[in-house]
Amino acid sequence: MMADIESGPDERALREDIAAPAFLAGEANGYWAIVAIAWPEVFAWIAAGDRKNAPTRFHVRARCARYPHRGPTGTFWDPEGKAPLSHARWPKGRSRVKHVFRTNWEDGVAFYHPYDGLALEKHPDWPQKYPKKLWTRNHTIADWLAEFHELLNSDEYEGV
Amino acid sequence: MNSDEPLDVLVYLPATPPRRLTGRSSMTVDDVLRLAAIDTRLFVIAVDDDADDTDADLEAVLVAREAALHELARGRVVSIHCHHCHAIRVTVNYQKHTIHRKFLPSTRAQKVLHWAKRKLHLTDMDADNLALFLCDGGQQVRDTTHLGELPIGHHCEVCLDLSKDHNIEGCK
Repeated sequence: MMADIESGPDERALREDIAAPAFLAGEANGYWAIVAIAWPEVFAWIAAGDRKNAPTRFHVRARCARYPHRGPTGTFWDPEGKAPLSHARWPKGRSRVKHVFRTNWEDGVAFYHPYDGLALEKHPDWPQKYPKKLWTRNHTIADWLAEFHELLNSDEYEGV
Repeated sequence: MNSDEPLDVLVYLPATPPRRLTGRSSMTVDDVLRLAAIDTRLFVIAVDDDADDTDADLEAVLVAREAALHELARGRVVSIHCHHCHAIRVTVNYQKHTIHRKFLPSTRAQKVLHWAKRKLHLTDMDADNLALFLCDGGQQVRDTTHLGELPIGHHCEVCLDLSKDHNIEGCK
């Protein structure tokens, strides 16, 4: 997935980060993979824990304009339908899973988490409330994927 | 497996994120360590399986440097854990409780988390949101992190706090 010479600094930064050890190790371990890049949209999948009648991985669309200054804005994606995943097929669970993967905020166009660019923009109080969860320009797409991978493999994740 | 088949080799070193290299299935562990200029005094520890946990202290199985990568591969991935510790004494603090157990540098934090929840008899509701944090500085330890990646001193010990992670809340 080479960048062409017209790519901007945000796309170049992301492509550098997906060649870095943190991303590559997760990919080699089967935690995640990039499926396609159609800038500024990045399509990936994230592995999920085994649950009855649930997929072993969820596809996501991450809108990555202004990366890494702004965190990617994510939503679950249906690769066959080439559309956002219907809410009925989103991962369900308790506690953190329930809060982050909520579908009743902005119609599920973003993950309800301070790593998500849109969600953070809409919550100016979050930097003060969640300083350790905050996206900064030092974070990478590997941190973003790892955060949601952790939720999808936690005891709080219950399936779909 | 074809002897020329390329493999992804993940090399885990003390207190650093893993390095990913490309190897050939006929290469040995020693070939990889030399190519990557890795300190030969480090032990090479076998992968710790997440399953079959008996709650006993773990003892490392060392990997022979003559072992071929194809013998160690899981699918197309070979993990090589190099560390100065055979085992790591983990202390977990939770409220007024402190528990200890020896794990391996190749043990993932998720195994420690599950053990701590079992040992402390935390039910589902109590255990929701619980995560491990480094005692110094409070940085959260991801479930997929191997203990050898954490800052482990020469005494081969690490201290972790088991405490609640945030629920992200805002508008309804």
